[in-house]
Amino acid sequence: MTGRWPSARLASAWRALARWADAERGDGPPASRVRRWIHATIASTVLIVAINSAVDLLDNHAPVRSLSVLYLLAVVTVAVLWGMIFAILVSLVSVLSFSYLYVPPRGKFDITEPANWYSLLVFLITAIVVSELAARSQRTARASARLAEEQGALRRVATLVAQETSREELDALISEEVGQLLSADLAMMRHYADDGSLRLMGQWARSTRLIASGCPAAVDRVTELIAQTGKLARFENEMLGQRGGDGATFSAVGAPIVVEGRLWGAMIVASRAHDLPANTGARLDDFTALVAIAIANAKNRADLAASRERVVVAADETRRRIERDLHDGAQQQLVALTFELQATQESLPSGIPQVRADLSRVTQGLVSTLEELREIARGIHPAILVQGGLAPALRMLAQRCPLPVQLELEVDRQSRLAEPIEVATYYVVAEALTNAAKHADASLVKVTGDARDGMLRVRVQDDGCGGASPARGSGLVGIVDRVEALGGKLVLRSPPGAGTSVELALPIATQA
Amino acid sequence: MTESCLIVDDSLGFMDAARGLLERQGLRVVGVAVNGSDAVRLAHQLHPDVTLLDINLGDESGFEVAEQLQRHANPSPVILISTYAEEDYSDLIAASPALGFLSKANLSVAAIRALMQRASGYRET
Ligand SMILES: Nc1ncnc2c1ncn2[C@@H]1O[C@H](COP(=O)(O)OP(=O)(O)OP(=O)(O)O)[C@@H](O)[C@H]1O
Ligand SMILES: [Mg+2]
Repeated sequence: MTGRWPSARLASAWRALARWADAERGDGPPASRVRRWIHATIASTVLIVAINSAVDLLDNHAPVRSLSVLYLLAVVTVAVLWGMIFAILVSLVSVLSFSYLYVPPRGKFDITEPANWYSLLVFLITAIVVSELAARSQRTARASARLAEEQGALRRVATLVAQETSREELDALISEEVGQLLSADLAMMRHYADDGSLRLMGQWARSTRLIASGCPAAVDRVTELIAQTGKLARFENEMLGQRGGDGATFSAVGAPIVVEGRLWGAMIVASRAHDLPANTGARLDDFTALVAIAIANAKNRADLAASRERVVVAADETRRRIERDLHDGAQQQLVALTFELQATQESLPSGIPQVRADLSRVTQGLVSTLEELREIARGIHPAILVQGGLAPALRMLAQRCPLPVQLELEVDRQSRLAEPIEVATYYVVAEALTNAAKHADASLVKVTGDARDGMLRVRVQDDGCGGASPARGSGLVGIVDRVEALGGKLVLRSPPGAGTSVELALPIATQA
Repeated sequence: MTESCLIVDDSLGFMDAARGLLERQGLRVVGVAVNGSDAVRLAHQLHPDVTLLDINLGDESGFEVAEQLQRHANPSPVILISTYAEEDYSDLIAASPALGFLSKANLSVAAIRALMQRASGYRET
C-alpha cells in the first residue's frame, strides 16, 4: 500500500476529474455545453497555475527548457477530458506563459526563438493525437455501454414475453425500458386499432405528476404524423397536459411500430427539458424494431387464445341451439302426439281390445322415446344451466351421480357468471364425477367451489384408486382444452392409491 | 267439481293437445297464455283454480313468471310443467313458490288433483 499510494491517489483523483468532465458529455443541449466549457476553463487554469508553481520550485534544480515537458501533463489531461479545442488552447497558453515567465529573458516572449516554436509544435501534435485517441475510445466505450443497456432492456422484454405475462404488463414494461434507455421523461406506446381509434397501450413517466397532467392527449401530433407517414416523427414544442397541467412544453420523438408488415402503433418518448439528443430518433427506431418482434409474438399468442375461446363459445352456442330446437320441436310434438293417442284410445268403441292394446303399446313407446330424447338433450346442453346457473346445475349433477357426493359451494346464488364459464365448469364437474363413478371405485366424492377475487375455483376429489391419466381417454383432455381456452387452469392430481382430485381455476367477470 | 284452469305455454301444438286432454278428463280450461305478461293479466281476471305454467317460455323463465303470479293478492296455485324431468330442475322447483311440478308426458287431471290435494293437505295441518 505504502509503495503504491501516490499512484492510487492519482488514479482516484483522475477518476473524480473525469466524472466532473464527463457529467454532461457530447451531444447534450446548449445548457450543459456551457457548463462543460466552464468546467474546462476552470480545470485548464488550475492545471497551468499548478504547473507554473512546480516549475518555480524546480527552476534551480534542472535546465529550464527541460521543464517545459511538465506542461504536457496539462495538455494531455485536457485533451482526454475536454477534447481537441481546449487542448490546443492549453498548448498555446502553456507555451506563452512558460517562455514569458521562465525562459530568459524573463518577462518577454521572444517570437523569433525557434525553441518556442518547437515546443508549441510538440504540444499541438500531442494535443491533437491524444484528444483524437481519447475521443475514439470514449465513443467506443459509450457505444458499447449503450449496446449493453439496449440488450439488457431487450432481454427483460423477451423474458416477460416468454413468461406469458399479460399484454398490459408487457406494454408497461416496454414503455418503461424505452423511457429509461433514452433518458426521457415520458414514454408511451400507442396502438392504431382496427376500428381506426387510437389506444394507449402502456406508458411510463419519470414522475407520476407527468401522467396526472393528462399527457397522452397532447402527443397526438406525433402519433398522427406517424400514422400518415409511417416514419419517425419529431416535434420540439409539444404542449402537453393542457387540461389541468402547467402548460409545459416537451420535445417529443416517435417511431412507428410495424408488426407483420402493418403499422401497428407508435412508440413515443418526450422530454420536458428539451434535451433529447439528436440521435434519439435513430435509437428509438432501432429499439422499437426489435420490440415489435416481441409485440408480434405476444399478439399471436393473444390471437390464438382469442380464437380458441371463440371456437369453444361458438360450439357451446350451437349445442345450446340444437338442444333448444330439440325441446321446442321434437319433444313438444311427441308429447302432443301421446295426448292425441290417449284421446283416440279413450274414444274407441269397446269390444276391440286388440286395437286398444296396440295403441297403448305405441303410447308407451312414445313415452320412452321421449325419455331417451331428454337424456340426449341433457348431454348436449344442460337446460338447468341456462335457467338457474351454476349452483343448481352442479346440485343436479351431484344428485344424478351414482356415488354419494358432498357438495359445498360458496357462490352467490343470485349473481350469474358469464355463460362460457358456467358451461365449462359444468362440464369439468360432470366429467370428474363420471370418471369417479366409472374408474375410481370410490366411496365418496367431495365437490367444493368458491368465487372470489375474480377467480372461480372448483375442486372435485374422490377417495378412489387414483392413477388417472389423460393419455388413456378423451374426457380429461377435453376439459383441459376447454378450460385453457377460457384462460383458466386445470390441475389433475391422481397418485395411485390416494384418490383423484381435479382442480379448476377460471378467471371470471361477473354478469349483472 | 270441475276445476277451472289456465294454461301458460309457448308451444301451440302442445297447448291444443293439452287442452283437449284436460277437458276430456273433466277440467275447464278457461284461458291460455303464451307469455308471462298475458299469464299475469289472465290469472288476475279469471282467477282459475289452478295455473299450469311451462318452465321454458321462449326467452322467459317460468320460474320468474311463477314469482310474478305469486305477488298478486289471493294468488291461484301454480303447477310447473315441462318436457324436462323433475330432476332436471329439482333445485329450482324446490325454491319456487309453485305447488309442484308435472312432466308434460305425465300430465293428467288425476295428477293435477293429486298435487292440489297434497298441497291443501299441507296447508291444513
Ligand atoms: N377419478 C379417477 N380415478 C381413477 N382413474 C381415473 C379417474 N379418472 C380417470 N381415470 C383414468 O384415466 C383415464 C382417462 O380418463 P378420461 O376421462 O380422459 O377418459 P375415459 O373416462 O376413459 O373416457 P371418456 O373419453 O369417456 O371420458 C381413464 O381411462 C381412467 O383409467
Ligand atoms: Mg372420462
